[in-house]
Formats: sequence, structure tokens, C-alpha cells
Amino acid sequence: METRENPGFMTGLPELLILRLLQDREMYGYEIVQAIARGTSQIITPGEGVVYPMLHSLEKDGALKAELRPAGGRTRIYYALTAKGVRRLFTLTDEWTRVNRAAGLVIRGAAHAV
Amino acid sequence: MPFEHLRERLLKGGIAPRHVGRYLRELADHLDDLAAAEREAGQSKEEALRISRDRLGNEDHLAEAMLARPDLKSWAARAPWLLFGLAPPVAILAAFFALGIPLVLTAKLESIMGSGAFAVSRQPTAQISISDGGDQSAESEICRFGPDAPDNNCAPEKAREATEASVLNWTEFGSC
Repeated sequence: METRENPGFMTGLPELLILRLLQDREMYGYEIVQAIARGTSQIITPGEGVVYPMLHSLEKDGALKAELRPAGGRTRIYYALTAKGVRRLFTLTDEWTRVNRAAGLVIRGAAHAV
Repeated sequence: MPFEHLRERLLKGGIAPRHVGRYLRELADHLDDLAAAEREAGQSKEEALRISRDRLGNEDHLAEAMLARPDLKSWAARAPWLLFGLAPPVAILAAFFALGIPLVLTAKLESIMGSGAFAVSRQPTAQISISDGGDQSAESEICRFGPDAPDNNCAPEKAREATEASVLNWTEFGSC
């Protein structure tokens, strides 16, 4: 998961985006990656292969459940949000909103000061 | 098989086999999807595969993403002291509880029964075969005596007569 210029800046965001996307519907890895790229107008482009370790960790933690299902003549591993995942999504959304707001205060303050 | 080196690398790095298997399967599916998208965009088969490989990430990148997550490692990798230090004594204890205790209890129970607390009457039951005189192999009636014998299944007179005629075959049935 990376922006074009500052990959380290996105810490914590991939998990939030994955959980938010899976809140709407179940998806497999490729769909998730494409949905993030499309949904952020290619500003956030996930590393194609590295999304899976995160999905495995979230599943191991109980935030997601994985299920093998047929799709398009093949079987895919679909991920779905659990109740624990929903709670985690709310927590992360709150945190992200607070951080965003706080950073906005500084940025706007700095802009006013200039 | 694609990603075979990655498999070895992840397993050597301690990632749990089930996560390794699933990861490689997902990567293979992802690669197929990427290649299919590139083909649809007009790329040749070889070019589509090359672009897909690049987009998926190189092996180092893919391995590091997995190895950086300790929660996906097997117990043997995460806590070898637990597996090789604690597990053997626990296994021995478990084996003792599973096999030793039932054996001890059985032995104890047998000793209690043998001491008389649960003693069972062991009076022998006798069977008298009464032959009809000349032909000793032809048994005409069987009389049973002892605590388990049915009531009045043989007239005492007949038994006495048979004894006198010395044509009685006694068969000890042993304990009941």
C-alpha cells in the first residue's frame, strides 16, 4: 500500500480502507486492491501482493472471516467482515477522523500564519 | 509451480504452513487476474505475464510482507521453548493421565473386590447326567444342582436311582 511519494505516511490506513470496503460486501484480494485504487482515483495504489498478509492477520485476529467460494469458474478466497471487524472499523474511523482533524488544525494554522 | 522459492523461504522463516499455502494460492490467482486484465487491454500473453509479475511485486517484497507479521508464524517459530521444552513433559503427563490412571484404578478395584467387600458367591454347580441304563451315551435327563439350578428340574428320586445304577456322569460346571 503506497502513495506515489510517501509510502510511510500511510501507516494504519490500509487496514481502515480494507475494513471499510468489506463492510459493503465480501471480496477477494484482487477485488480489494482494485477497489482501493479505483476508489481513491489511483492516489493510493496498494502493492498488489502485499495486501494478503494483512488480510491473513485480520482474519487471525477475528476481524475477518475467510471462505472458499466459486466465482467465475474458479474458487476464490472471499473475505467478510465479522462483528469484531465492525467494532474495529468504528474505532479506526474515529481515530483517523481525530488525527485528520488535528492535523488539519495545524495545517490551517500554519497556512494562516504564513 | 510458481512461487516455489517463496514457499521455501516463508516456511524457513517460520510462517505457519496453512498461511503459506493460502498466500501462494492467492498470489497465483492474483497473477492470473492481472494477466487477464492486461490481455484484455491488448497485451500479448508474454507481455501480460511480465507486467503482471512486476505489478504483483518481486519475491523479496512478497516474502518481507509476510515475514514482517509475527502473528502468522507457527508456534514452533514463535515459541520454540514451548514446543521443545514444555511440550514433552506435558505429553508425558497427558499420557500418564490417559493410560496410567485407568490402569491404577482397575488394579485398585480388583484388589477391593478380591478382599471380600464385593465378593460373589462362588459355590459350584453340578450337573448330573442320567443315562437310561444300557446305553450310557444316551442321556435321558439332565439334573442341575447348586445355587443357580432351576427349582425342581430333576426329581431327587431319579438322581438317587441313577447313582445306585452307577451310570452317573458328574460334570463339574465350575464356578458360576
